[in-house]
Parts: sequence; structure tokens; C-alpha cells
Amino acid sequence: MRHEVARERLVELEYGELPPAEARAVEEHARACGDCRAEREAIAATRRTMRQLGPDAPEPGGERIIAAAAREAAARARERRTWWRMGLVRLAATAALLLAVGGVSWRLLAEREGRDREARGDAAPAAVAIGERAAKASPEAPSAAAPPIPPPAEPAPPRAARRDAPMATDAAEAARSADGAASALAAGPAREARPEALPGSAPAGRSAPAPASSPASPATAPVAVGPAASPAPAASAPAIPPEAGGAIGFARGPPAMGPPPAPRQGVAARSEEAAPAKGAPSEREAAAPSSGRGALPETAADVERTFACSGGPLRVRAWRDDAGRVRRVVRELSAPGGVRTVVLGYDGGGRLVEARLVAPGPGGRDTLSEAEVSRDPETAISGARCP
Amino acid sequence: MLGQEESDERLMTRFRAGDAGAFEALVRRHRAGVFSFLSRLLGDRARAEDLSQETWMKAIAAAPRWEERARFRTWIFSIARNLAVDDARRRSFRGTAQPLDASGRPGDPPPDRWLAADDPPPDRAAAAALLRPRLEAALASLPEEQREVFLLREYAGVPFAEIAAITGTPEPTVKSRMRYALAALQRKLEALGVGAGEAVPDPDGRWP
Repeated sequence: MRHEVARERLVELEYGELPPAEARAVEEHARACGDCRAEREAIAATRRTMRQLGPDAPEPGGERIIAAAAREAAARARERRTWWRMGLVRLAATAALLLAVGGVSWRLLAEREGRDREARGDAAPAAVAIGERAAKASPEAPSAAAPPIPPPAEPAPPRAARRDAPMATDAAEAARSADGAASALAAGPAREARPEALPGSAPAGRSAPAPASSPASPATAPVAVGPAASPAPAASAPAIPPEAGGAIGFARGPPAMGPPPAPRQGVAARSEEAAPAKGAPSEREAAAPSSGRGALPETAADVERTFACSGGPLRVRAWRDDAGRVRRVVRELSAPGGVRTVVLGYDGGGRLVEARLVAPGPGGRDTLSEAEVSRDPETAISGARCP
Repeated sequence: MLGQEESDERLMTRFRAGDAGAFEALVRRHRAGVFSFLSRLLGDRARAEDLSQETWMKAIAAAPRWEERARFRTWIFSIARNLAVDDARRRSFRGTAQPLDASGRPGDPPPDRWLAADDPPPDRAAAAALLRPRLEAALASLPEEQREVFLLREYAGVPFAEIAAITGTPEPTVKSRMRYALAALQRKLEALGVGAGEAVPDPDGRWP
């Protein structure tokens, strides 16, 4: 190392700011060079002397003022963090709710299909499709997705079902893979939302006259909850309050849709899952799709209650499946000039899977209120609340 | 023992998370250093007291903007240094400037009085008591820009590169100033009769 360079570096060497290799080179030079050695010693001596000057103590007392200010600032920082955390908690809660909605929907799908398989000896796996999933799946399996309800009068012969099973399965798979994360909420607005295809729907569709042949027609859509069914007057405003629970927004198929007008008819062989589809409501509904409001059941309800509300009587009717479980509840609030009608659908597990405003009534809100959406079917009947 | 001590940066992070005690620990650790730096830079204890308090208050207020990568020591001394520079500028603008390199404090005996080289050798405590003002006088004799660099590097432990950043001076210039400062101190100490071998422990303790 050149002398000039080394001499320049002596200060840095003394303060330990040289990289190891350079430090070794400078040290080496300083050992051999008398000038540098003397200079280095002088620097070290001056430092030794000057370091005997310890820190000067400030007046006592000042630190108390600083500490007080620090505590105040720390409290503010904690406050900010708390608010931030609360924000996070809220965010997490929202995320959890969305996940729950998705999860419940998913489970419903899985369960439903599982039961269908069981009930039908796995002959015709249900092609289930929800909201946009249905929309995505339907082009691939139109016949499976389109026909809303098997005509109960002619239960699908297992053989026929088997024949079409692959297609239905495809639809189901497609629906599943379409977007596993698609939440039920997101499914709502899908315009093409199609009712889920029911077990054995393909053969049924073939044998059923009108509905199966018009898969894309809005006529078949009223079963979908939410804006999906908007073409049909029946579903004109089924905006559901988020509090209504995870399962709502699940675009339920026709079974949940039309109140079963002809209960316990020709469906005994089916699982309870197929039960709500009993009777031929879908056919009727499909035949008169534009009159969704008029599609309310003509058959006698299994349960009927009337409550006296301030605006007028509230009539609550319910239909049970073969197992005695409430699957469909129709809530009609009479007011001068019209009736506000809400249809609620429940699955075999008693979970709310559909909530639809069929008719808003005179001057009624076009969204559902919490009071109108009962998550539990028994509450919907006996614990019905006036608006 | 020192290794187990929580780092300044860790304490600062804790403070930002709402732990006031962490900041109090930082104050205990650095308050005397910051005050000494200001006092020796300004040559005025009263002003140094004020500016020292202001430094800490400013640090509290600026804590949310402190970057975790920045060394706390460098950060707090740069706050102190900037306050001192602003204060000096204000004073000089008002015409009441007291040069930063004014030696000694008001009321201190003139430096000549300390040149007691031919006094009888005092005992150790007395020697220490006598040494301190002489070392301070040596520091005070440095030009301001050299004193600043020396104080930051020797006592505050700020590396040259960071001194360059704090003072807005190129790093080679900072190192040159340090070399000049060391050479000037050496001459001054000799003139003040403080030999390099005069190793008298300071009763106030040593710098970390």
C-alpha cells in the first residue's frame, strides 16, 4: 500500500471503519513506516486523553418532562393501534362471513349430491349449479342445467337417468371447478343463473313438455335467488340483508322455489331431497313463468297460521316434506291494496336456502327485512314477526 | 451484560408500539450524551439544556417517521445537531451571536489559569477535577466544523458516513476534518500541559 494512501486511512483504522482486508494492509504499512507509526500512536494518545472527558450531566428534572410526553405519545400510539386492530377484526369478521357463506353453500351442494346419489343408487348424480356456476356450466350441459324440476308424476326411471348421468355429472363437475371460491353472494347477480338441475332432470326434462325445452328462458330462472332471476317478476327484489345468514343467496333450485302444490305424490321413492320437488309445480310455473306471483301453491299447506299485525293479517303457510320437515314457507302480509308475499325455502337440514320476495305489496319495500327472513323454519312458522 | 441489553432500535420500535417505558430507557441511555454534545458544540450549558429537551420532544413527535433501518443514535444526534445549527443561525441573525467556538463558559477562569503545569502534582481526584476543564478547553479551541465532527465520531459514536449525511458534507471532507481535529487537539493538549500519558480516570465515568 502506498504511504499517502495508508496515512489517509490511519484515522479510519483507529475508529475501526476500514474493511478487514484494508485494515490489515494499513496496519502492515504502519508497522514498517516510521511516520505512519508515529502518527497512529499520536491519534491513539489523543483519543485516550480526550475520552477521559466523560459525558456532561444535564440538569436533573428534564427527563420527567420528556417521560410525560413519551407516555402521552405512547398512549396515542396504542389508541391508533387499537383502532387499527378493530378495523382488522372487522375486516376479518367480514372475510369469515364470506368464507362461511361459501362454505355453507359448498356443503349444501356436497350434501345434496351425496344424498341424491344415495337415494338413487348413484344412478344420476345431481347436477347442481348455482348462480354463475350454473351459467358457466350450462353451456356444457344444457340439458342437465336447464330443466328445473322433474315432473314428479313420472319419476325418472333409473335407467333413463343412468343414460344421462355422465352429462349431469359433467355439469356438476364443471360447476364445482368453475369457481370454488365463488360465494353465494357473488352468485346472485349472475343473469344467466339457472335453477339447479335436479336429480334425473335430464330424462325428466325430456319427458316434461315446456320447461326443459327452454333452458335459457327466464321462465326457468325464478328459482334463483337474487337479481339472477330478475327477468321474472317474482324475484324482482330479493335483496337479502347480509345478516340473514350464510345460506341465503344460495340460488336454490326449483324445489325450493315453488311451494309444492301436490305434496306426497309419486315421489315416495325419492329421497327427502327430492321431496320438495314433488307435485308438478315447476311445470306449472314454467308454463306460466311470467306470472311468478301466481305460481303460489294451490294445494293446502301443511301448516297455516295467521298473525294480527297492525297493517293487516299476516298469513304464514308451510309445507312439509315426507319426513315432516318444513321445506317451504310462504309469508303473506295483507295490506289494503295488496299482499306482500315472501317465500322461504329450507333444506333437509332445516337451513335456509332461499329467501325471495315474490310480491312487495302495496308501497312495500322491495328488499327483505330481517323480520321476514327466518333462518330456522320453525321460527318462520310459529315465531313469525310482524314487520 | 452489554450484549443482553436491548438495542436502541428495538426500544424505539417498542415505543412506537405504545411502550412509553422503552423511550424512557432510551432517554436514560442517551440523554447525557446528547446534552454533552450540545453543550460542547455550543459552549453554552443553558442553551444546551433547552435544545436537549427540544431534541427529545422532537424525537417523540417524529417517532412515527423514524425508519427502523436507521440507527437511533445517529438519528437522535442529527436532530440535536440540526437544532443547534438552527439556533445558532437564529442568534446570529438577531445579532446576538455567540460563536460556537467560544472557549470556556461564562464565569469560567481564563484558560491561562489552567496552565498549571508547574504546580505541585495534585492527588488523583484533584487531577481529574483539573483535567476536565482543560479537555473542555481543548475541544472549545477547535473550529466549529471540526469540533462537530470530532464530537459526533468520538463521543456520540456516529460513523463517518453518517456524519457526512447529518452535516451535509462529503465523506472525504468529514474524514479530513477529523484528521485536522485530532492534530489540533494534540497540539492544544500539549499547550495545556496535558500529556498523552496523563491517564487520569474521570470520576464521571467513561463514554460507552
